[in-house]
Amino acid sequence: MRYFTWWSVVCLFCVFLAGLVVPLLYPRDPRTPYPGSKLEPPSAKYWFGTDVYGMDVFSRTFYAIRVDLILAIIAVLFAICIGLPLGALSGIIGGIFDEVIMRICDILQAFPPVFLAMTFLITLGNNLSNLLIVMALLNIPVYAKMVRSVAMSLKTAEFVQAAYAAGHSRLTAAMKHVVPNVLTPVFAQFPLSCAYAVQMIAGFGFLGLGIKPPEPEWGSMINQNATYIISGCWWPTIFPGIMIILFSFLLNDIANKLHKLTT
Amino acid sequence: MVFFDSVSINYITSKTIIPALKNVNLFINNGDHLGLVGESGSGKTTLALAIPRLLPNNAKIISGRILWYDTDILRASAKSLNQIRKNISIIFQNALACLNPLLPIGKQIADVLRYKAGKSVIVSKIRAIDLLAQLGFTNPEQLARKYPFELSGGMAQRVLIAMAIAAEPRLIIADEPTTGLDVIVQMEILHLWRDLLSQFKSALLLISHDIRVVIDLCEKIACMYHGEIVEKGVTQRIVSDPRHPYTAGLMQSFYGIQKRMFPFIPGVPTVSVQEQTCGFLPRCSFRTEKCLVEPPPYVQIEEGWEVKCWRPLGLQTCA
Repeated sequence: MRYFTWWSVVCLFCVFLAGLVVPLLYPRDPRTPYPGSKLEPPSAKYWFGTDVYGMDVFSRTFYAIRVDLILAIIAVLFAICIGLPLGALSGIIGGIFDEVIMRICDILQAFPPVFLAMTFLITLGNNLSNLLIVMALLNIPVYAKMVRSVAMSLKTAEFVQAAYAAGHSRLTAAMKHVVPNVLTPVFAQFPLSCAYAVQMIAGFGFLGLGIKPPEPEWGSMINQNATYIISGCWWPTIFPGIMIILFSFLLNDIANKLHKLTT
Repeated sequence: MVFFDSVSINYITSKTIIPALKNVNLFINNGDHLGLVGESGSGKTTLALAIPRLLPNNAKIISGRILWYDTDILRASAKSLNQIRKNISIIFQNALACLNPLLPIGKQIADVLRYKAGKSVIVSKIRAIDLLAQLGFTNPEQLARKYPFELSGGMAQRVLIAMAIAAEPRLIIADEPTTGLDVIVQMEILHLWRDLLSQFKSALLLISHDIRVVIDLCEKIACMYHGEIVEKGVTQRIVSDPRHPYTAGLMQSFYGIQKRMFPFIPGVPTVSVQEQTCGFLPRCSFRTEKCLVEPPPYVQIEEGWEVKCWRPLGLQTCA
């Protein structure tokens, strides 16, 4: 196996574990406001301070790991589940089917992501399931196009030809020889898409789309408290911001290493 | 077993039409070992790929039929074609590219046994290891667990041979099986082929531009030029006494190299659709007035030995 450093995987795992464990051990509920302690600075009582509603920032920041990361992973997996078979079929079958699928992907990618998400969520309802669908919609063309390009080159690969020559039908050859081989770039793309999805979910949260307060979410936390930075209350916005950067960095680093490993 | 009946195939590109096979007639009987020689672009691989109907999408069958016993392969339904393909094994030139990079070797051989011969999972696993041992691997169990990237070119070629003979097919098509291997490994593979061919009853269609390999393994030979079979017959007879000017040139080049001379056939092959007469005409030193006017007929020299030429060479020994 070629050189692969695990530190970013270990870091990501630790932070994710913290997201699962910290809310269980830390005494303050992320959704409960403490009206008497609005915008309290970090202290022994409130480790990361409190926000404008008096909610505990430490608890909220760590609880939001569950929300943002899990939501991002589910959305990307959902996109892979649809994009991979579509791309594989497109590449293998070709012809009009391929044209139709690829043009739909082009249309989806032609919209600016935020514009598409806003239109979708405002029209069909601003809720979690719609946010998931829109995140998946943004990622489906990425996977469909990537898998298609690999499937097209694999279609004429000699081992696939050998499978045809052995009497395998097109479907069997595709399932057995083409699909497992297109998984490699999908693996490399997966963390990158997750990083992008975390940023997008936080971005939508900042714009007031998707997850709504008091549910903890980094983007909406920054949005609620951003105006108080100028009065010196940096803590409700800085910590969620650090988390977004940390996750994006770790996931990008993993994607980068996987990409190097697979090419 | 396989009969090419006046088969013509063209490759259609956006700019031009390239004739790949022109009125090819060929018969491969059960247990025949036929070598197909000719230079690059002469249509050898197209002929071979037409048997299991694995031609590229831009190949167009103009005329003729390829019979597998009584079934016309070119017009067979997908189901019957798959049945026919189960009786054929192909070995491509680049052995490593023919193996699925994500599956261990043992599984790939076992898959062939399961799919083609209908063996159970356990039986096919054991047989796969047996086959690897038969092909001279000293540690077959360990090798069966290895992935293609862990093999050398020669090892991959032997694994492919194991896959090809696994289900004891009626026909093995080997497309330049020794090209790209170093000389010592080539020799090993040739020995292996010789042993296996004496054990199995499969017919062999061997494509090569290395005449030495064909002389070594095949008792019959067909020489292709410009999409046509210009000469076919018994290997020993043709090698010692070629009748077509192209075959003669090919043999001269081969034996010339052995004598440290480097004779070559003058000119380069041309590709043209309009050409109606002999394909070798522009490079032939024996052409006559008639060659310019009419395409040459097949002239039978003796039983099973045919030459497509207006003026087959007389007794001419090149060796």
